[in-house]
Amino acid sequence: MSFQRRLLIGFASLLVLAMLVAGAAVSVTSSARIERATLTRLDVGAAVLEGFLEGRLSQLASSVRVLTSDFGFRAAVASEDAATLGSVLANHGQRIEADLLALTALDGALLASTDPHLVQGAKLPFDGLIAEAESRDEVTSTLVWQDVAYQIIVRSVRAPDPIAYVVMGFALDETVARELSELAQLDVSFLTLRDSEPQVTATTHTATNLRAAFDHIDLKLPATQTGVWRNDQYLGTLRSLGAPIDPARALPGSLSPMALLQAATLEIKETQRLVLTQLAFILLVTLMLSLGVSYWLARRMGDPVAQLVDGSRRIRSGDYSEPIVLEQAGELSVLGDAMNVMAQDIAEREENIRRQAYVESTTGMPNKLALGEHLAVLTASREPFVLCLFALVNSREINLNLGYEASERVLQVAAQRLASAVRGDDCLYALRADEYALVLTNMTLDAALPRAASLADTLADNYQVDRWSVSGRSSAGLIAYPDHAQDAESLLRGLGTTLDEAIENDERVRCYVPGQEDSHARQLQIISELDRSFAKDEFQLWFQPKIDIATGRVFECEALIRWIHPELGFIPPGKFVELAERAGKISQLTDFVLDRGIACAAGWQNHFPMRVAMNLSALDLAQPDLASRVAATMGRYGAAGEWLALEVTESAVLRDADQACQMLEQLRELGIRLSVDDYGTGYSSLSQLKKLPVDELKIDMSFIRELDTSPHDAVIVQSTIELGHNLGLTVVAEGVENRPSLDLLSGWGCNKAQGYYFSKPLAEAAFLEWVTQFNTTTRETADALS
Amino acid sequence: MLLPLASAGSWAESPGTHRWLVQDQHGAPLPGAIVTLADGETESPPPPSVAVMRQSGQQFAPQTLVVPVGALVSFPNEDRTAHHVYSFSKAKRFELDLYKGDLHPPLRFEKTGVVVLGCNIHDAMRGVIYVTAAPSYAISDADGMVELAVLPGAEQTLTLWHPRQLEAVPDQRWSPNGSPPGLAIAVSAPPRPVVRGLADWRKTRSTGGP
Repeated sequence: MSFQRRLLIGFASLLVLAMLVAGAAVSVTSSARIERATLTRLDVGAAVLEGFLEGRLSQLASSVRVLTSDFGFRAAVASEDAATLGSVLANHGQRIEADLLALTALDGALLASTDPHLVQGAKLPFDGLIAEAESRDEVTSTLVWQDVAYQIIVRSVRAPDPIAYVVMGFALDETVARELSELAQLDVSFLTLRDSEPQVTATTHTATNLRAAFDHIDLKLPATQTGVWRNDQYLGTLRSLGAPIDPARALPGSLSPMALLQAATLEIKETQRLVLTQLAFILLVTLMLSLGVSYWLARRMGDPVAQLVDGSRRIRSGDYSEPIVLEQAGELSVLGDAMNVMAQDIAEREENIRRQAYVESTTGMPNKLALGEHLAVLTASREPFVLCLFALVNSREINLNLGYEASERVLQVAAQRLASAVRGDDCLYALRADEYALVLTNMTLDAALPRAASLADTLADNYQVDRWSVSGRSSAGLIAYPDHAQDAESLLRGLGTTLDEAIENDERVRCYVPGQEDSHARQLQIISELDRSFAKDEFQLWFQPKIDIATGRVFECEALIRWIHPELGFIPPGKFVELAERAGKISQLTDFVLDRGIACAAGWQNHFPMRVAMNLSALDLAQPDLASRVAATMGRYGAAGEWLALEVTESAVLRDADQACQMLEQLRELGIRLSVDDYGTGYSSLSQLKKLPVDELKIDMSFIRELDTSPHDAVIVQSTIELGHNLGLTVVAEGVENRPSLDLLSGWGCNKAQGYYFSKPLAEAAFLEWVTQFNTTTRETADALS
Repeated sequence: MLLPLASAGSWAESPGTHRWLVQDQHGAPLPGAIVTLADGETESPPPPSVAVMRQSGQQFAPQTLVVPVGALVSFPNEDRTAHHVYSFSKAKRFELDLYKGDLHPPLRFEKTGVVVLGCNIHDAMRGVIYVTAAPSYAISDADGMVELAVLPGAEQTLTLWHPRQLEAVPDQRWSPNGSPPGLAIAVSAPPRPVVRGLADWRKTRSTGGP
């Protein structure tokens, strides 16, 4: 549930609760107040009733007093003549409007009456009053007789001693009830209990109301009870009129009268309903108002929160451009501001990281990532362009010669040269510190070629670092979009192989040739199939003899690995050895060579005593267990060290000279003869050569092949032979292809020769056959000579 | 109600008379009681010339008067206000219209019995004329003492009556040789003194009652 809705519901329910409580309270208090007022009205009504009846009684009593003091009346009473008495009563009763008139003797016996129920001579039904009147002259009472409530006055007739009692009754009839009702504004009923049942003698209720008025009202209670009688429609109070008549003295027919004053509660309910209606209306209006206000408040609080959430979402998605703006924010604006500052800082840091990520660190140029993005944009727009890649090819050598700092400076200068040479709208990238890409838009390959060439030349100019002057070697590759490749990845891959080709072939500029990646694919296939080939015995060891020039005999051979691929056919070792080195599988290859070579050396020993020379790569020398592996293989085949020779290139030793020397010492301790292979191709260092624990120097075939025709080579070879001998080394010439060369070598004292002039590398069987034949021929020649 | 009368005869008596003490129900001496004695032989004495029942200070004076049968009673009004004296008693019904002074001639009372007198314009006035046929009669004095002439008859009837008596006391037989019976009668409390005039009325108002 949203914050706003929760807020709204909270507000609304609080309000409704408050209103309900208020409503209940008002309703209760208002109805309680009305009820209290009604009860007060009842009390007042009761007081009015009493006052009224008392007043009426005293008024009547004074009338009676006047009557009883009338001399004529007294005289008539004293006459004791019944007829006279009857007429006197009627006359005077009419005069004071009494409803009941009777005269009794002092003992209570009726002398005369206006009521047919009161027979002369009988006792008065309420003669208790007479007894009271004896001592008090005048007694008043209210009682019910013959279903009528009367206010009764009994007064003695004196002459001057009491001679009789006058009994006068004034009915509490409906006229009186109505009069009272008008005074008290209440419904008035006069009633009595007959056999415990209420009997109404007069009432202001209509006949239809009467039932409702007395519904659920239990009057079977002590007559003095003056509590509140309540039913559905009325609140009432009951008053006993006059002293209750002692049942023991009450004669039949005289009952205790009561008055019931009632107020209709309809008014209370009406008022309550009115109050509740008004309250409901107020509640509704207030609720709507408050909902409006709380909606506004909730918006005031909720909107900024929603805006903050939106803002944080934007920040999360990396959009910092739009700051969070809070309308009606209040306290939340502080948070908003803080988030804005945070977004700004993040943006700055991100920009920083981005800058670093897109920059090549040495040159400070945009890097490969930046190029990738640029290419993505360009390929998306489908505009043709030419992509050039320049390499400072000899950067590694410069690094080796000048050291890290100086070479880094060279690279920086190289980058600066290019940067200042390109046109303003051509974009330059450094893929590595020594490899630079240039995007030439709106240019054909033909137009791009000379530009690339001149830039490559710029890169190849001499570098002046400190006191040193270094010459650069550069190559460049070019590829055209969309002619050669249609996406950035293909472009870069194609361009990479083009540059590799250019470097390999020592070309200044090379354009992409469609399909050139196939050779790379082949290399990948070779690497992937190395393992399989070991298993399938596709590798073989071939042998090329080394001829001892002095004796013309063969005591040694060089074992060369051959790979006959079932699909690719013969794969030259120069190719797959390098691949195996790159793929980290060189030791597997070396182990194979060692195993086969040592096995052959051991196997041949009885018939063809022959030293087998095997090649080690630089990586082999770097492996600390090489010596132990060789020793283990020798042990396996029972080979002696003197049957074996190992050849290492000068550059392989130079990679880590100390470690290589240690390893060579260990191998030498096994009795194995050690040779420096391909001597003269690398950076030959005499001091290095002097330290190496080797026995033999093999002059590279590139010096020997054209030895007979190249005086230059002849000088080098002759001096190298001398050098080797001076260092106490045996010297071997590789690549001897003709007799003149052999003669020259022989003349210069070269120890051994190896080359096609004698034999190309041969498989084991053919090689042994060749050896047999050669040695025989030589022996014959020798024999012939001798 | 009769109470034994202790040492009734200890008072000094005139010859041929006898003195009694009349007591109320509490044993207190009771003034105003009428005691008569008859022996059935002795004739009642001839009535005095005229008995007087005056009206003075808005009261009858005396309040109680005993007269023999046939006596004449005059009703002189000594007050400055007029009186309207009447009686509805059976023994003598009469009415003397408003008068002052001795306007009306005396009335003859020829029946025995109690005649209650009232004034029509002064309700508080109450007087009694006791008409008796007995030869000997008297009213107890302020000390409750009554002295009667003793009759010659062997057996005599002693009657006791009081205006405020609660019940009639039966007649008592008495032989002069025997011990005289006690006289006791239950009476109601005396009425409050009546206001006779404005002066008195003022006095009662100022003193808060007698």
